[in-house]
Amino acid sequence: MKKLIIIPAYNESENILNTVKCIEEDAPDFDYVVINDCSKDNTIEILENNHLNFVNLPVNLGIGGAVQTGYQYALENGYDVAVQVDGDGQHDPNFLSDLFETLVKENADMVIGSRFIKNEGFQSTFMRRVGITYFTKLIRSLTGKTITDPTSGFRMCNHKVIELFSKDYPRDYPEPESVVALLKRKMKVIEVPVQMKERQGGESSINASKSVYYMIKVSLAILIENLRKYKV
Amino acid sequence: MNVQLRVLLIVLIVFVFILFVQQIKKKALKLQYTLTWLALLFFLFIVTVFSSLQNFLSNMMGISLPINMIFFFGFLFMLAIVYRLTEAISKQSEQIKDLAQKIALMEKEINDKHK
Repeated sequence: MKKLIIIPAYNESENILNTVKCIEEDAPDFDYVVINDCSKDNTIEILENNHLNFVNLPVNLGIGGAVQTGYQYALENGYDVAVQVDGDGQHDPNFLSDLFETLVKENADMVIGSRFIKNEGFQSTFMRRVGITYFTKLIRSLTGKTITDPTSGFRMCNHKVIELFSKDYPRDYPEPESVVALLKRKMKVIEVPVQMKERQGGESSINASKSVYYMIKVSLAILIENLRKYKV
Repeated sequence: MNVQLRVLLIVLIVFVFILFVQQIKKKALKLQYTLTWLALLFFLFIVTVFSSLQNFLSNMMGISLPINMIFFFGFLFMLAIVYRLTEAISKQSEQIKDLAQKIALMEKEINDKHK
């Protein structure tokens, strides 16, 4: 099976080389592609000089658009499995085999690496955990399914979901909304415990003023996604 | 509505109308997106010229001053125009995203072939 790691990168010059090195060491059976989302720093030079495998977006599309480009790349190049690993080094490639085994064994459509099953590793800040719990409850009340870490970007999908996401993927803050999109289609979403690290440099895309926007936007997106009807 | 105000409105409407037609002629504006504007101008022109229609509409809607009726309809048309813009932006941002992704993936393919 051909397996691809999608690494969205926006201004990740401090972390990107290290992230790719970790992947090459710890997950050698995976291919990777870095999606440079029109970074303003010298991420592109680092990608070029080190001959990394990358796709360079001509304009900044935001995390959703970048990750979707990765899914399109996976589809075009005939990958069976794609997994998102953030460029900031939060996601430990050692867990990729866990995700993959679960995907195959359970015949799942998506496997999410969750911080909150075993509650080990970096647990995010208190305020963020409050937000994440809220989304877990919102998704449970709408779909009946419990997703302990709906904001996790550390997610692996099968070919069916690669196809779906390469056509249709939310633009900004896509994680919780796209999980609901799968659940609404009665697809199988499973979580496995992972440990995440604190980001190793650079800045998070969500700061204090954006978090209010984030909560409202993602809540609305989930509610509207829940109104959509799909043939199962 | 008195004569001065009506003349002022008609002059303004005619001026804006000519401006719009010129811009469309020069292809600076797309007719597709200016139709709501032209509808607004047309409506304003009709109610300004025919004062009996003005009074009739105001009475029917329970608006005491005809000018307020014109403001009200002007506001509704503005909402329609802004809606058109929001729709156009949403569509375009999706199209731009699709283009950017296609370009990025094609560039990648070309670069890979040259290696």
